[in-house]
Amino acid sequence: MLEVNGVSYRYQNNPWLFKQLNLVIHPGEVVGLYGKSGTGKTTLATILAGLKKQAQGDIKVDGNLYPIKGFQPVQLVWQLPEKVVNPKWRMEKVLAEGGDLDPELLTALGINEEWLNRYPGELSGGELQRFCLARALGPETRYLIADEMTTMLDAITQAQIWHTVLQLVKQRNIGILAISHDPHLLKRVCDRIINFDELVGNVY
Amino acid sequence: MMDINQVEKSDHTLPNSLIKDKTPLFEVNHLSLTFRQYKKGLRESSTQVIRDFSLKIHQGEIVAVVGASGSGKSLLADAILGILPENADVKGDLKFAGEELTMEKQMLLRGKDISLIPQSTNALDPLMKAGKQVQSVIKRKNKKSIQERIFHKVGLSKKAGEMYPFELSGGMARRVLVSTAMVSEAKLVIADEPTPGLDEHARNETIHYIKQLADGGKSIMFITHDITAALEVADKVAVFYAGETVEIANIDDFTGKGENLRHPYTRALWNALPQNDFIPLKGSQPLPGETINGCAFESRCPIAVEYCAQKPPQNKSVSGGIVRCFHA
Amino acid sequence: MIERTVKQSNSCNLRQRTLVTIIIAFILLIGIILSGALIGPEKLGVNLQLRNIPPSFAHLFGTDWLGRDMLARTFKGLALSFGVGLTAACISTIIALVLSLLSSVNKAMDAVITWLIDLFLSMPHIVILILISFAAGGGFKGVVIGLALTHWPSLTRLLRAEVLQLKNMNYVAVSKSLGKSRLWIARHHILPHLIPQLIVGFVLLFPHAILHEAAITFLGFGLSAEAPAIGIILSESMRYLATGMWWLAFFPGLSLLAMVGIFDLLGRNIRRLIDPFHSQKL
Repeated sequence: MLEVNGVSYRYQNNPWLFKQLNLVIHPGEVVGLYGKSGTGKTTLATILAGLKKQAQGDIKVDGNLYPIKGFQPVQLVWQLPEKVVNPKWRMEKVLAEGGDLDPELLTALGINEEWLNRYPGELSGGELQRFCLARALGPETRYLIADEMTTMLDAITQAQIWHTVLQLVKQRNIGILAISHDPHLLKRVCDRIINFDELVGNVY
Repeated sequence: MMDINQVEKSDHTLPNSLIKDKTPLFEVNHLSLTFRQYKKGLRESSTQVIRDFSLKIHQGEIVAVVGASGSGKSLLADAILGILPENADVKGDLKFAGEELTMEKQMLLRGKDISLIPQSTNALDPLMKAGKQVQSVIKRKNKKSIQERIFHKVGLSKKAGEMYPFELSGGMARRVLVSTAMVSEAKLVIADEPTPGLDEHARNETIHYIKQLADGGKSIMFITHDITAALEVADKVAVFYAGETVEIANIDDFTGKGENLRHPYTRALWNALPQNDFIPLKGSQPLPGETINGCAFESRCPIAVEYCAQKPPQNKSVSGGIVRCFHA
Repeated sequence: MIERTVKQSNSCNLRQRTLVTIIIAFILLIGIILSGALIGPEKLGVNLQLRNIPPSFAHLFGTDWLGRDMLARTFKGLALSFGVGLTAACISTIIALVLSLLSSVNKAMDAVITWLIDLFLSMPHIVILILISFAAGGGFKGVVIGLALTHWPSLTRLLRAEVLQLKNMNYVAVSKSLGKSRLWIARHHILPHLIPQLIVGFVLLFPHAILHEAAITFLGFGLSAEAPAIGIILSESMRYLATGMWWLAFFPGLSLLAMVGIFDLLGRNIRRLIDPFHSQKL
């Protein structure tokens, strides 16, 4: 279970971005999250992935309190895959960074073996996003935060990626937080949908 | 079996419904774009990004150009405005208001008759107040009052005009960019992916402004990968795949299971939407630079036959639209 | 019909031209150094019968008041300068790399290093250079230490900015969340991006180091008077200039400038070769 208890965040001494946020995600569950721009959804995503530290409150993943050392059991998939791969690395090395990946995972995500020898600049956004997903779905991953994971992709690629992800999630009992502005997409893929404003106790 | 020769003959002929009484304001025929690049070592290689793009836009019309990321569609705007990097080779016929659009003409018209709403709000000058940036486009007198009226129209306060871009929120910056296009005397506005990453409210707003621009008599070329947004405002949708226009469809064609759509890719795109059937089509778009002998969509096409891989299909008109497919 | 094609210069593209320039510059430099190394003491010997000869075919650069061939002395001097520059630039580059990586550790470290950079850049170069080389005992060792300790700040500043930018890249954040250590990230993500800057910075440090070496030697704080350094040659020739022996200063000075120019050309062309943005420009 991924538990978020009374988490607040602000950057240095700026006003609170959000305060007293509570959220629970169970394994194998797909939770949709929507809300206005600039309210801190992406910040929440980076906090859950262990990349930023909350100012108050605590987060527990399967009983372990944050911060967690080493590999983060909660992995984030970003909106722009071009920005999360080292442009000087071949895709092979990008994947290797995620640890020993199941070759079946690569097949399931439709990753062509030919692509492994290419550089990120030689692949399209949709193809790169598959690599980012594969890297984030290492054996130790328990939860996945999909922050506008398919916003920059066309409808066909979006459907391809979500179909695979939903299948994998069921197999491995991974919990997902899907952040998106597209209500149709959330209705399609999620078990339940939350408005970000409802999560937050007080916003100043 | 269909006669291929006949298909080729019908190239260029427009269906009656698309011929309006006037010549189109803007016309592109067989545009292609190739980049020269250094591969490993000293050899230069060229990569074809746009293979064959054709489009007509009439006055007051919104034409959406829909395509997957990596299909080369964002380079279209650059090619039309003539702001491509130096290692790009462009070929094709461009016509603006009936006249040929040469390189010199592009330079002359850019920012005046043709204006761009860029994808990123980073395009604003960080050292100039928002109001001043909009005023700098206005050719008439009373610059300040015109700018304030436009700001009011898009829901920006007088105060916003005195702000520097870093003080504006993302949504406000976007409105400033739209106002710049609104006050300009441009006849053609190119909007390059203005919607992704916006929340529902901001997205609807942006779409509304684009509609407003067209109502004011401007022609809009709306480049996007979001087919839902395109369908909300556009009069026509040009579907772009692997550097080619595969179909130009009317908005009404997008209904049901896509029975009225002419190209199998458009149909797949329509059926992949989460509000429709969310059906994923297998495979991925060929990368720029891959050699394609036949139809670019052949490898993923559910109705492809042998000759689709051998000869590229040409544009032809079918039931009020244009399609590049042997089977339509 | 619009048709825009990139003009191709006769049969060789920009990258080939760049590479040819680099090779020519490299050969010229190697030539200077080798000829300096191959000139034996007999060429540098005193020959009072051949005193004060203006440039001629036998002595291209003329001879000095002791009848020494100025061409041989100049080349010997350039080779010496090259040695000094090489050692100093090497050490400076290493200092710059280490400091720029250290500055990414935390904010306090960064503040200290930024302060050091500002401190060194705010004082006149030549003054600290003289101070350090004097304190280090002068001579070859003193000059090298002085040059090494004074030429790192601008490169450090460049590298520090680069490291800072790389550190904030999203792929570095992802790397962290995948459980990679700081050291691993520095080695695999940061260092490979710095290497081009490092090579260019190293090459461009040469001309600076060489000119400064000549300057402090000229002023009498650098290499010892017996060494055939360009600085020494120039300062000695000052006394004879008034008597009309212009060639004593002219040719050695010009050669020094030529060598510095070649280094500069080399550095700029290497940058053009490894910087993907510039390599596309015509």
